[in-house]
Amino acid sequence: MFSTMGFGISVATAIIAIGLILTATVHYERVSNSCESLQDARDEKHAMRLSELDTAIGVYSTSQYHYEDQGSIENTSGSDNFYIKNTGTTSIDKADLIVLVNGASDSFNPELSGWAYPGDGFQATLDLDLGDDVKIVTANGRSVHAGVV
Amino acid sequence: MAGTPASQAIFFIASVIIASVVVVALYGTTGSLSGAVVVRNSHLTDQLKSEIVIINDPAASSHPGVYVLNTGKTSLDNSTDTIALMVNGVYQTIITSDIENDDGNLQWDPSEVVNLTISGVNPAGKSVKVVVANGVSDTEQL
Repeated sequence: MFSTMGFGISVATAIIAIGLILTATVHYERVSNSCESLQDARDEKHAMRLSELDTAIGVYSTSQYHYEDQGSIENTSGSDNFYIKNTGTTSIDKADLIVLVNGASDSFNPELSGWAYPGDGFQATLDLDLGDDVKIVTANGRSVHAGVV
Repeated sequence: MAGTPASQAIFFIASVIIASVVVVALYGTTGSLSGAVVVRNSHLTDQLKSEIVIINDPAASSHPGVYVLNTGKTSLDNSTDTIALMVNGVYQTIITSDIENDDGNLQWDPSEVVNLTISGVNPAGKSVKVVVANGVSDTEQL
């Protein structure tokens, strides 16, 4: 009697063991894939933070990019030219720059295109009036403010 | 002793049935648990890839709307009923949510700005909070 009961218990143990293996095999892969996606997202978030820290721009009234010219745009009749410099350590897509004049969305005329590498400066043009406030924002949210003088 | 083979068979069958029930229950529970983990991870992944920034100029005295820049890695839903906007903690009904620099696909892609307009409240000098559908938010003092 005990040997047959022992056989029954062995069969039951085998069923449970096979069930455990089957369960682990079926569910492991999708949980593993999901955890990998989560880790990739964490890495992307980390890269976003780094990119943000590496990004910086400055607005200058002249192409000399002197410290004393920073943060101001000289008002002239007609369109106003000023200069933007990539003062960070990562490249900036000029087409992605967003400009607000007195709090309202505006656009550069002519539109900007191409890349500004670290240290590069380029000219931008807007129709501005004396006393206007200009805010320029990069694609990752870094911004710079300038006043028209 | 005449009943011994029958009782042995009953014990055997019972142990097999109990083992099968345990396996089925375990499989179902593990399935539910792994499903929940996958859903939770998917939600967290979506949140980690999403990011918004309110880019209004605090120096401006008036704001034609609340400008929200998508600084994340995924497209977001810009329909008015999926975005919550609060001014000084009070919920505001969004009138329009147009994309300012849309590339033509009518989706709020990364590096695109949505202009949220509300009526009756000038957000100048107030605390503005914007929350998108997946719970990602940004707060700015204008």
